[in-house]
Amino acid sequence: MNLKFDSKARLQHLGSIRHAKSAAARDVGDRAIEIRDRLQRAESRKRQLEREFHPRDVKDALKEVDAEIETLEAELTNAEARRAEAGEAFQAAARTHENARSYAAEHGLPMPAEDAAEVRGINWPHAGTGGV
Amino acid sequence: MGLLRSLKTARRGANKAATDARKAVDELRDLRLRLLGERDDILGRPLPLVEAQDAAAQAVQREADRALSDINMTPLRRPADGRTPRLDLGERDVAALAFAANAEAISDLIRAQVADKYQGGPEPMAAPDRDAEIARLDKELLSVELAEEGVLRQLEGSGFAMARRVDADARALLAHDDELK
Repeated sequence: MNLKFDSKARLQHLGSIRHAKSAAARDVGDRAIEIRDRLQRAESRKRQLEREFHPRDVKDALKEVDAEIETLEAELTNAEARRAEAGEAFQAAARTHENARSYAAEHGLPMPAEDAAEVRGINWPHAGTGGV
Repeated sequence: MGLLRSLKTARRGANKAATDARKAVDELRDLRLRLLGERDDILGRPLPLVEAQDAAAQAVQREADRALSDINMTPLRRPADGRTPRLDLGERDVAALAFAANAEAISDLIRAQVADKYQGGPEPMAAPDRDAEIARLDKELLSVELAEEGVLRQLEGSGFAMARRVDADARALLAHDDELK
């Protein structure tokens, strides 16, 4: 079966999906880090309250910080799950793109300059990432 | 109000089309798995019994011929002392000669053994038939891959992206839109 290819445009498209998934994975990763930081701050605040005051005097403040910790823990679990999902989606998109690129390279099909450079082992800078 | 209603109707229509397209992708993926299963079955089928038995008989005959040709007969014809013919047989030579002398019986034994292995097993298939069947299935698999890629591009075009399979056929990924119609 002799197929007509549109390798350059298709690789460009698959590459853009890969970069979008990479950006999404980075975003949800950043979000998880931010939540973890907030959680650590809340836990530290709680320890400080327990260390420096009598429980009777900070009963309400402790209740408040416990509630905040509980919320943040739930948010973190959710964010970690989303980060794992986004990471898997990125890996899948990257593998799909690489499979297509390898086929194109193997069969001498035209490909975008970025892909041709990466096939030759040259890292191509991507907008907003400062690297590949 | 009329515009809002028609926008809502259009959105419902687009959502339904996207749901149908996703269903089509799932069905194509199932079909692909079925075809791959069929392909594995074909590859797992044995060659016809006669071919296997002939190959065994030929292998036995080759060994028997080799056993005889490996024996050094020169001292029988031209002994070193010029008078006493000699035949020096090592353990390996004796075993090889015993094999050669019983080649037919050994061949029959293996043929019977091979025939036993075919009992109750998958239906045999001749190599040319198997190659033809594999080629047909590979062609069908490529058509399914192209159809799946076609639906995925259609979905992307409507703003409802669905992830491609990691093991998607690169030919479908790189195919021109014309090939997906």
